[in-house]
Amino acid sequence: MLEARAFEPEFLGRLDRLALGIKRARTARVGQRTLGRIHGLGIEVENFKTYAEGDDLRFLDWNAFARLDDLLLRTYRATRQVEVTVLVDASASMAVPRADDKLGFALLLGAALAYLGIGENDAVRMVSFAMHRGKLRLDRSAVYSRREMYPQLKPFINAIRPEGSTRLAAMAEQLLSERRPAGLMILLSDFLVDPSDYEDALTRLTIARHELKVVHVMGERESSGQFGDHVMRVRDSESGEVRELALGEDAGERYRRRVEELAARLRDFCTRRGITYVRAFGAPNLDHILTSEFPRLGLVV
Amino acid sequence: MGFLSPLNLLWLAGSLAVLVLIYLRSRARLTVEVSSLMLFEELGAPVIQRRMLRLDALFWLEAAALSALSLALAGLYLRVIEPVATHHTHALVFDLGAAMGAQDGHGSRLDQARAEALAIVARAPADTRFSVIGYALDADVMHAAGGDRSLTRAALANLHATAVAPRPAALKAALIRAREAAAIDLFTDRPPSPAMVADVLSPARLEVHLVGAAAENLALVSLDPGTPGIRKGHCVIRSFAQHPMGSTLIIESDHGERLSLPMVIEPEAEAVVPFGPLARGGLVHAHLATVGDALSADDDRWAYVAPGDAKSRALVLSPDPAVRDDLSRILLGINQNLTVAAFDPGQYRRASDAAAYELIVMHDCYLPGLDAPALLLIYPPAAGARDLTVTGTVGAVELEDRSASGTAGETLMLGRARELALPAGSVVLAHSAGNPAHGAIPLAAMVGNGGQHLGVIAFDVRNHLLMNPDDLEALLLTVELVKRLTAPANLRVVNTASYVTMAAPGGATLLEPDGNVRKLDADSSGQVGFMALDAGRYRLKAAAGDTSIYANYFDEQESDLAARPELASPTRPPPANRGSAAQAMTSGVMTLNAWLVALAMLGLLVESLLLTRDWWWRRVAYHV
Repeated sequence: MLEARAFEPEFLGRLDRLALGIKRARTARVGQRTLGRIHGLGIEVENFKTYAEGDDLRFLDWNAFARLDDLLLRTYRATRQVEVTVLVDASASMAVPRADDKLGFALLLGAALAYLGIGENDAVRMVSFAMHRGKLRLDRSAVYSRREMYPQLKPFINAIRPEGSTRLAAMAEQLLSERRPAGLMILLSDFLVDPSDYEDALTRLTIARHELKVVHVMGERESSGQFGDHVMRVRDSESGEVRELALGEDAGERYRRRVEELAARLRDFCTRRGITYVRAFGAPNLDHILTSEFPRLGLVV
Repeated sequence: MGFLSPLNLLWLAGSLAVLVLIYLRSRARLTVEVSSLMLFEELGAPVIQRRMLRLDALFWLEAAALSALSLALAGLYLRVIEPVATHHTHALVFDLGAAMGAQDGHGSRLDQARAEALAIVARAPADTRFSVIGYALDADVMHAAGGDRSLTRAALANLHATAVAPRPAALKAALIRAREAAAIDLFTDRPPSPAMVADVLSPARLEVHLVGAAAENLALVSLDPGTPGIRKGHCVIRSFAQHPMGSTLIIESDHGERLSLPMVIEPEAEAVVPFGPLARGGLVHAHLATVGDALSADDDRWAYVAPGDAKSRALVLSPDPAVRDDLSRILLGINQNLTVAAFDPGQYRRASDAAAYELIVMHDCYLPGLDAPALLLIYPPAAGARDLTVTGTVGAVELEDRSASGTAGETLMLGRARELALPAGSVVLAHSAGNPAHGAIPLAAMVGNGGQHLGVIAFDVRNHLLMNPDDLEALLLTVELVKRLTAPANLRVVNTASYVTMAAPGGATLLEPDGNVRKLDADSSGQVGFMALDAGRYRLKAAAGDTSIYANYFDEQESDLAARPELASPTRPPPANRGSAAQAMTSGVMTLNAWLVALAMLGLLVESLLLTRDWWWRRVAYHV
């Protein structure tokens, strides 16, 4: 199980060099999406402004007034905790192909991102979701904000079992109904749903001012498309639908093209919506993904 | 097609089921679970239609081999129809009933049939084999199928009409014997039942030759000679003519009497013609002399009546006065010329009775000193009498049948009866129904006793048994036995189609009415017998003396020569094509075991070749 690596010291040591790439605004302006630091009380001076009537005289810079004879007010940056939510798709499709351990891979990435968030003293929680027997199952971990609390995530991660189907829109609706403050949401899924479903979900979360990062997880074998037999019977892991397929010579190539097609469509949508899209295809590429892809795409810095 | 051991078909079902399971298991593809079918939607590969069975040469070969072996185990066979002989066979079947002897201007109906048959024989191909079969009471192969035409013609020449009505069962038996022939010609004056013919053979193979034309006939139905000097006799004459017919009834007796009675009989009428009374009686012969009468077999009748010139005396002995009275009445009813004396055996004094009796009847008693030409013992005493040994007494018996009585047997419960041990040569006329206690016991018999007539009735006749209308069978049995006892030993009058038996330990020679002479061998009981098929006088010559048997014939349907229904099916195949179109076929059974096993072996061999074809190709390539 790949997720077990998430608590290995060596792995965590490599993560210590990274930090989540959260858009932390220096000032809070109306109409601008900013997270983290907002204008307000704090200890770090951010800027100066001319005194206007009604301003709090406690922030008047008396030294500047003495030297320049101008009434200037100091403005401070108020440090605010960002709530980081790591959403992991726990539907049945995440368990297929078994050899790829796609869910373990997603949990490993999710745990790594949670570790980075906790390292920044952000409030981090993990959420697994799947539609099981017609009912959305949303399992939430506790909120952790200190690094020493990170190991407490382990029981939650180990308890996640892949089952049910993927319903991203329903998951988004459920999360938004909790009316939590806008924060960072990292969604890890194979996105093997109707595009309208993830488009609906991502759009809703974006409108709710959450900063979104999408990690598109696929298995090594799943994405490579290697078929042995010319006639193959496949069963959808979520719907149970069975089809018999007669595969041609170029079936592998066409399959890979289809995978790229789906990934490109998701990426394009994310680009249009200002959502960070990260492609994480294949667990063997974990190190490369963590150390190269994530920083390159701004997921981590 | 059928199976000798159908249960073995279970092997077929079981083995095929196992094979199909193995096949389906081998054909079943491993279902690959995928995360989503979305990934395969644009694959462009066609989604093939699912099928339960695919064409698989090995599977079908194995299925064929298993089926063949199972069918061999089940004993599959074919019913094959094949010609019975290589030669063309032709059966000529003749009705030999009385009506076939009816004469018209050109001979008898049988003569006409014979002429047609000879014509068929004459124009038949040289390799045709003819058989000649006649039927009346029974079917008889006169000439087995053979190619010698002279024998066939001789057999045809020897055919003669009998004086019996042909039985449908005999016709059926004749057709059964003839059905192996390719063509069958039936010569008769009445068409057979289509249903019966269809039951025996294909009607297409049968050609019916209806011979004879409608003819007029007068028949003597019965003859009652009356009582000599007392009661008139009478004849019943039946007309089967469409016109009034003049005829003369001639009555003759062997005592020289002759009466000639001319008359005119109305069309299709029945006339009772009285005559006599005869002065002396004896054997009476009635003859109907008619101009234009087509059938002669029913123009003569014989009857015997005891001569009336000397008063006969009979003695009845019984301890029961009612029985004495009943028996006396019966004897007088049989012969009014009798003088019957009746006594209680305990009071009868032989010394004071000087009369000579023709018949003595003893009921439940036996007086050893009494003797007469005819002696009838009824319910003999337990101590036995004469040659009879009484082995026991049963409380009740059931009269089962009356062999040779001439009447249909009916069961009848009788009272007490003696169990008798009859001497050899006795003729049992009736016996009881068997039961587990004592089996069947003889109830009425003629006991072989040299020259004297001795009859015995084993059951008791008390309580007016013989006068009770409900017990008529017992009376008829008694009357018949009395008639036999009082009839001359050398004279019998029977109906045709009767089987006549006589005591002749050394065998006898029979002279038939048509002059034919036959040698009759005696059976183990010293009896000779023959079937009276012709009307007229039979003479049986034996060591004990000659016996004359007169056979009377009348059958209402057979004597009606005007009646001749048309054939039910007018379609007849042309004679020239009939033999080839409907070859005589016989059905046989051909088992297919060897073929089925060979087929199974072949299937397995081909399968082996298919499985090892790569190896064979490599071998060939290596050598090349």
